[in-house]
Amino acid sequence: MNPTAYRITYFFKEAIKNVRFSPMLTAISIFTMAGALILVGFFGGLMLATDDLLEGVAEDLRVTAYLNPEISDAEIESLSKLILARDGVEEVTYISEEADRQRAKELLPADILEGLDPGDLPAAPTLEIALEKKRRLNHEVDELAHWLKDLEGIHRVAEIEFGIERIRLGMAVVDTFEVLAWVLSIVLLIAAIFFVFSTIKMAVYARSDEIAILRLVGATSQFIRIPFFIEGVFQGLAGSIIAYIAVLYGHSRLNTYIQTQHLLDVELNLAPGLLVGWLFLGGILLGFLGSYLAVGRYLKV
Amino acid sequence: MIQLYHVNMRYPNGVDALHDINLRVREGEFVYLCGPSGAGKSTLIKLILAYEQATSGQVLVAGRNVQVLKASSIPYLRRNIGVVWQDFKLLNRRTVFDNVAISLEILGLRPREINRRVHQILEVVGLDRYATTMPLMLSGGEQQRVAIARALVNEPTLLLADEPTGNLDPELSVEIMNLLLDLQQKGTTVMVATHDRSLLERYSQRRILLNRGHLIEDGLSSGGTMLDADDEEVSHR
Repeated sequence: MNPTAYRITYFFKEAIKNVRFSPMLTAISIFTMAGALILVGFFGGLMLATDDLLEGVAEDLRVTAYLNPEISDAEIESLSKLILARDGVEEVTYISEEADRQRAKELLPADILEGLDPGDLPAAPTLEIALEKKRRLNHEVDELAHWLKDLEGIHRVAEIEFGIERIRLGMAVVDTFEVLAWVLSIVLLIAAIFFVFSTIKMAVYARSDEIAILRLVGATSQFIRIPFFIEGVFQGLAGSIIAYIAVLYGHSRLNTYIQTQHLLDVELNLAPGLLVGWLFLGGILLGFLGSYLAVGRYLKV
Repeated sequence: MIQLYHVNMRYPNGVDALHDINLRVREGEFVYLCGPSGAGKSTLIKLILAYEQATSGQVLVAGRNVQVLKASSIPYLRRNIGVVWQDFKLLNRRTVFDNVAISLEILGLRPREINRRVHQILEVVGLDRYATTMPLMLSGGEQQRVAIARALVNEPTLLLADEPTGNLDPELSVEIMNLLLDLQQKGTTVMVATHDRSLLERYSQRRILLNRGHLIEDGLSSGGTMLDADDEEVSHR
């Protein structure tokens, strides 16, 4: 090992000594950090999972425009181009009368179709129009349907039967809930920084004599400060680990609850990789921030 | 090694600690810094160590002007100066070994080298068997020896000792003084602040006498009349 490696070993030893010197305060600090991160992690995961579900619904959302049966191919093509040129429209798919009939055949249960001549099934040439993903659940869908109704060659526009209003309400509730969860998380995160700050402040005070002596024997400012930073980062990391375990546990419990109590075949991923990454990074950064503020304020070397 | 030019020191509370001090200590010299309590001995040591900054004048240590030294450079100056404080300044939450080792850990030495050098110096000061003991479990004299070991372990070019034998019995005082003289023989510049008359009488060395912040005599110590003052205030010349 080179001198830097020995110094790093020394810094870690000192940080551990500090933790052992004030275990109670360190524990409070770690658990506050964990509490804040659990909230962020759990609600963050829930938000992401809900967004995923709603996006899945939006994925299938199309506006179906039934065309006049006597419409010509040239008219269909010009109509498609006109619709595709509209702002926000992502895709226009033409379905012939025969394809529409075939689709109906596939959708209807076999017992209903029994004894029916497939040629008698009602069908019409249609255009299926998809908006850009982010616009599929807002008022632009209604505006598009309204606009389509007035176009020449369009017989009627299918009612949007996907419970879009309910989905919108669900999204509004989720959005409100999200804001509240973020506010609560921020309050707790500030509290966590404060606790790390206080722990490091106490450690600096408790070691003030030692720090003075270290200065006298030639310790640099970094040599004295680094163990305190490590201590802060350690608290953040420990909080992150606790939060990660709690979020994973919550995830498993919630999925079990949804699947057994509500009999839904849904698997919510409350701890996606990105969120876990942020959880750990967040913990480390918050721990560092708390110690950095305390050292900057109370350790004058 | 040490040069002071017209150095004045006034503390923020208005106390004048040093007045127009001019001084030169050569490399490898042994110097007593004498005078009664409050004479300015400790202040002078603090100025050399860049622990305090002179109100005016210049303080040069090992060719470096302490007055204009950047804060980030001060630790590197101090690494070449061993200091023995009157109140020991030991780390009471660390063992004797750790107290001595700290000077070497700062330098980033290998643990094996630290171990070797610490045990070696503890043996010299007669404390090797107390390596794992906490300082507060030791007597005043033993704590003083730990402080001496810490000051000597990184083989400094300059050793400043503030009353190094103040808490030791006569026999141990002689041992410590011999240790300091031995160090000087090896080329280290040694400055010992003391008002121990017997010490000055026994070891005839250059003596710088301070009183009320004034340098009033600079010459060889030989148990002369000024030492009669001992703890009493020396009459101002």
